[in-house]
Amino acid sequence: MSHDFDVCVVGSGAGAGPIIYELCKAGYSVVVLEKGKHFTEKDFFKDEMATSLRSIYTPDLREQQHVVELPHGENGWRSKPTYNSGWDFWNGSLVGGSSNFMSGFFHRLKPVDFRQLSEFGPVEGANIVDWPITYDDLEPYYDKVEKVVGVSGRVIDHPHQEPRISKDFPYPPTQEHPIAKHIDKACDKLGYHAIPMPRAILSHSDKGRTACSYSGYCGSYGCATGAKGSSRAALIDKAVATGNCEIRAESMVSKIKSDAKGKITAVEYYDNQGKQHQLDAKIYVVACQAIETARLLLNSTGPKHKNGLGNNNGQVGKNLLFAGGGAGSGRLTYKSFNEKDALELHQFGTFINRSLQDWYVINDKDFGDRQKGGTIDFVHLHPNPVSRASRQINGEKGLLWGTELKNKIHEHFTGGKYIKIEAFCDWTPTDNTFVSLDSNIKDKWGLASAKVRIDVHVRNLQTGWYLASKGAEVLTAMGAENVVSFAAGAPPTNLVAGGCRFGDDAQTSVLDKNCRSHEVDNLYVTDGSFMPTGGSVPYTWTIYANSFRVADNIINELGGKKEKI
Amino acid sequence: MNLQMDRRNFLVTSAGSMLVATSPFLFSTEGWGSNKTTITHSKKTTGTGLSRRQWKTIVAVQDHLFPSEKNSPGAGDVNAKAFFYAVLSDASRDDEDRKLVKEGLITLQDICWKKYKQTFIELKHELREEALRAFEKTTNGTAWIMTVLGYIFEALLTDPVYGGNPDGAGWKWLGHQPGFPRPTIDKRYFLL
Repeated sequence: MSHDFDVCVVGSGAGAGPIIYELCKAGYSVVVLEKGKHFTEKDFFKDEMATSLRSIYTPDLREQQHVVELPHGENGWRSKPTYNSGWDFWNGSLVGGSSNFMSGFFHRLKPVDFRQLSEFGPVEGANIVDWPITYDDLEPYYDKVEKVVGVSGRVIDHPHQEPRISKDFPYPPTQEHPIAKHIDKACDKLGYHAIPMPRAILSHSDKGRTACSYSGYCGSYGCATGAKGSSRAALIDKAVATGNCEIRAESMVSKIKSDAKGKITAVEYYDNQGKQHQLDAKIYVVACQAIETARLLLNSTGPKHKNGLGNNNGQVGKNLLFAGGGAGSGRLTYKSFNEKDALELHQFGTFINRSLQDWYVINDKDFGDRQKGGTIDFVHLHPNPVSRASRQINGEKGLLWGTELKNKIHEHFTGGKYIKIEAFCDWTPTDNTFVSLDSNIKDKWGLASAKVRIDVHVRNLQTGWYLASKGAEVLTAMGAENVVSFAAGAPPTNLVAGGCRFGDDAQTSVLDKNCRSHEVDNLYVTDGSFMPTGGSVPYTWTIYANSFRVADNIINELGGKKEKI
Repeated sequence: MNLQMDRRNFLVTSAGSMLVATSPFLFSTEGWGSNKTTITHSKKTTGTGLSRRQWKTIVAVQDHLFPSEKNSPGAGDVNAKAFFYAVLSDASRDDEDRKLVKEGLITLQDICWKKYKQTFIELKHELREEALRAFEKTTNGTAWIMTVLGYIFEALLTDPVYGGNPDGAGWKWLGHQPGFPRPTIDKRYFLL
């Protein structure tokens, strides 16, 4: 039977890129249906208006929104459309997805993340499980990401280093800000192990991409040099060059159609003129980021899939994950340092690149039984100036304005260098954080929006507090002033996974261990949806690695790499 | 669910709406910057719904909230009026956004008239301060003032390609280093 393409990929972010890259390289025809536009390096500028104030890389919430559902009263829930709530779950609708805007803080999961239930036992009110694969299964693919996407860093000997087959990173570390040496010194004093943070950023030009230009605007900005290892710059551009890849940007997939046997027959989508099309392929890969992936499957009902594609067990959308954790900050006030150090601290553009993983597993009797902890990253305050100025408006008795406000803003910008703590711990999966559909709130194509119920497990807050306070201890030892730390209860909407768990039990998971639907032979899900637990690091490296792993399986299923004619 | 009402509640309780800018607008500056620039923020514009007198009041409020001083630029130095005009005349914005700005102005004028029998523009500095503090305590007052300040910050600190921040005056004042590459006239956000 002939098909329009060998593989149809819905979405083009980190979960899609490796599939697109590997399948095209193996000689298979791939079509990519991406809702957003196709921007390139030539379209990316350090423009706060575009990235943050007018948010042109995410949909207009009047046309496409979500519904957020939060606890209300004793046992109730209250839902609200995001256009009217201040919430926004979009992270980047464009070719390459939100990987265009990541900071590229790249940490691997550790072996313990793959067996949390076995290692630590159950957590009350939570759905902790072991993964159906081990760290050893994924390690070769973490290694592949280092080489193909490009990860820069420096491996040092420390007690929390996960096993790795390559001795060091293929790219040396990006340039470090002098703050790093203050962190190292403070950690030495405290007996902690500051480690260089790997980055998905090229420290020297390679692979047709230009090295980092150290503009000082990285996270939330598209990279104008191509140094950042976005799915587009690192993988999709290369896939297009094979001649086997067709990108159909501004194509919104509305439904995956299936036949009476339950097998997928076609994908239905709208172009940017609102015209409907459909195409078919041998294999379909969905990778629209966790919430939209669940929504698409739930919206894709069929004769054998009354509750949504691959959802006869009701598991699609369940056990959604964000990232738990804490945060904090402090300021290195220039006048507290000698002239030379103060001058160094003024430096702008280079990276702090320091992390702590001393409490990735917490073994502290004062805190409780041995349990999962997390990672602490030290980062610059985001440089967006309008955002920084806006945060100075509130005074003790009301709004500030006039000379008082101006003085506060001036002092904020010129008095010292701020350091932020970002502490990552597992988002504890529960029955009350999941994606469903809200048929009352539809998007501009008339499709039911995703409703996201969110309930924060107390474990997230406890661990977040613990980690953030450790980070604050380091800031204080560095001589920082105004040090604050806290647990972050609200989910970071840019760090989302889960919703289509992989597992060996077809009743409690959506995907098998190769991320193929238990119910639909020609359907794969390769974004972060597969993760049953999140691990205590940002997700992108793991999503990339797993997608490379699944790509190998799909190539095998299709008959291996095609011979070049 | 009454979506329009919900939107209104959201705007006044969170000041979460940073309105989008548009509209061709010709202006010039002196002092902190020397650019003569035409602000063009979008392809389609509409009326702001505000009278000439109301725009004069907005300028007076902007000057009070963010005054021009010897060592620092104020709202008038960074084209804050033109910037706000461009924001409100963007045809793609909800009418509700324009309406809320207008209603805030009416409330402020009511306070001024009831307390002093004068308009905001006619008040001396101390009474303007008193009137704005009274306005801040009204239902929508805080959100309204935050909105006006928010767009002053945009005029002060976004790239000069958008018509504010002439010659980088805001950046220079704060020792702020912009990133590169900076947006060009043909790659402003509404043209991408």
